[in-house]
Amino acid sequence: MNAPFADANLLSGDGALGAAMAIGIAFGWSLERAGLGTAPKLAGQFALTDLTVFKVMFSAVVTAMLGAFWLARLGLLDIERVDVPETYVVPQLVGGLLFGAGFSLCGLCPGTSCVAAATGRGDGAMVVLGMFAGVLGAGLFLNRLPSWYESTARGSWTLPQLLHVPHGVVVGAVTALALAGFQGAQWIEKEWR
Amino acid sequence: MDRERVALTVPGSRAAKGSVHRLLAWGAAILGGLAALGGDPATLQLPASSELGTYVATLAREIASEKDHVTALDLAQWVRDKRPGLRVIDVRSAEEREDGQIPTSETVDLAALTTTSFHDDDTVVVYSTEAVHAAQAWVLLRAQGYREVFFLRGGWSAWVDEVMHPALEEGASVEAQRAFARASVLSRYFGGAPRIDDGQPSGMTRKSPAPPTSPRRRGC
Amino acid sequence: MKRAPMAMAVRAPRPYADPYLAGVGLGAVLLAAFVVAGRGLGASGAFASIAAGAVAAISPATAVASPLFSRHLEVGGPWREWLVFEIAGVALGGFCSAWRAGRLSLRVERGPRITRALRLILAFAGGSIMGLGAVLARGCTSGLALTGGALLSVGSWVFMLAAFAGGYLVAPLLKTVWR
Repeated sequence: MNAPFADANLLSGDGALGAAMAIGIAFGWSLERAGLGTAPKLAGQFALTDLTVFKVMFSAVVTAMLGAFWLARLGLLDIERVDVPETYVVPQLVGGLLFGAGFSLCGLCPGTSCVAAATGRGDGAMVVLGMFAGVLGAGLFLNRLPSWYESTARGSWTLPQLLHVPHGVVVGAVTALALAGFQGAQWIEKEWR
Repeated sequence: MDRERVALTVPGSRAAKGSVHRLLAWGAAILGGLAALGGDPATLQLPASSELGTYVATLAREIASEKDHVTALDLAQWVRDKRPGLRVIDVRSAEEREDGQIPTSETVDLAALTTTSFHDDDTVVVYSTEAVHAAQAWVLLRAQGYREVFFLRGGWSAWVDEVMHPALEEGASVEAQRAFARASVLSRYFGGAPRIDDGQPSGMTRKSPAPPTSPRRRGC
Repeated sequence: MKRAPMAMAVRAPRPYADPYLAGVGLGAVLLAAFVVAGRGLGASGAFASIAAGAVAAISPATAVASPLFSRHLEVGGPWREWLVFEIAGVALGGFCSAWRAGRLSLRVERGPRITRALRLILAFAGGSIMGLGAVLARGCTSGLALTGGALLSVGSWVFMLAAFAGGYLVAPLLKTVWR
């Protein structure tokens, strides 16, 4: 049990920040390689003409999910110490809807907008500025409804806990769904083109 | 890797692409299928945790049978006798230490305790202001496998009361008087001030030559 | 400039990588983040952190009063946050990759039927809405969907499904924007 190497609470060290940058570089590189630094390609996801977003996203989710599960299963990674994003059901449902609408409108998401801006896309830079304005506005606006923002908090709640099945069963099910989804994506791209 | 990527990114190498996709899909299907049978990541640790379970049970028995602590007078005796391998560890904060320290004790921050190394046959006695931190330190040290670990019952307060200021109540039993006699000897060794609460003659000095104020650390 | 994008590289840009292979690569990066840092990736958090730093510089009281900004002011300050360094890396990594593949170019990418100015306005508007959504949801595609998706967080899957739903709900209105 030696991973994760840096405890989540000790992230102010320079080493952790160096690791953050290295991981960021690999992240940005992967996004750009996949073609996710260009808005029309991402917009194709919502027009159902180019499902690259779905394919990349779910291959990544499945890879990391299987990797994390098996590393933990073999005792190499203490999965309990990996930060699971916390659940706030209603704010995440509403936030997700808004996020998706904005994504569809601008054709980029926060991470990919940084790649787009860094590779010279003016629209990417505008999305970055818009994101910043939105976050700034939301941060100031939240003072007025803190109770709603904190509502339906469930902490680090996972699907295995929700469904009362072993972690591995959910991992298997998500993998199966993703593989079926990839088949469906190939079919949709062929049909709609 | 590079050649592979080029082949995959150049349009027209559809066959190569298809076979890589099949490979990835099979890999995911196999790992995902096995995961479904694999249960929880935590289940792998079961042998280890059951071993841990028996160890924890051992510790629980030690606690229940009160083998986990030492009284202030016994510790005073050990310090005075210069018991071999004795290490007295003070886990109090700097502020709490201003009242004084048990002679020969070493200051170790509770957070740094797990990285402090002891010999296997050392007798480690941990103390804090009361006993909570010391008892927790006992668990930490025992969990690390050190066998001769004790915490000071009642902590520094007990040291002050029992060693530095032992008192004999009026009309105490013979047994208590005997215990007081032993305590007084130790107390004087550490510069303490034994006293008898009221004028029953018991052969003990009523007033100690040592200043009755604070038991300042002596000799170390 | 309007018609022909000004290509920085002399050679033609290389085609993009296979999406599944790129996805596996991205997943490996995410897994590396789990193993090395004990946390996932993120992007919107970096925006929030920088916004928190900016607000705190102007009006510390406002920053502390906000449930969003105050969180980013706790550990080490907003400028030394993990995500800020990570997002700087994202920009650098994206730049290097595009440069190696001959895909660096100064232009505004847009659908064939809208003007550049409108595209820039919509990009800003879309970014703002997305920013609001990311704040409410406490994450974005990378921090919530990818990270939490792989760790099977309930909230992440709720967010992911809601985001796709939101995207498809407005997509019919956006035909002129992209096609």
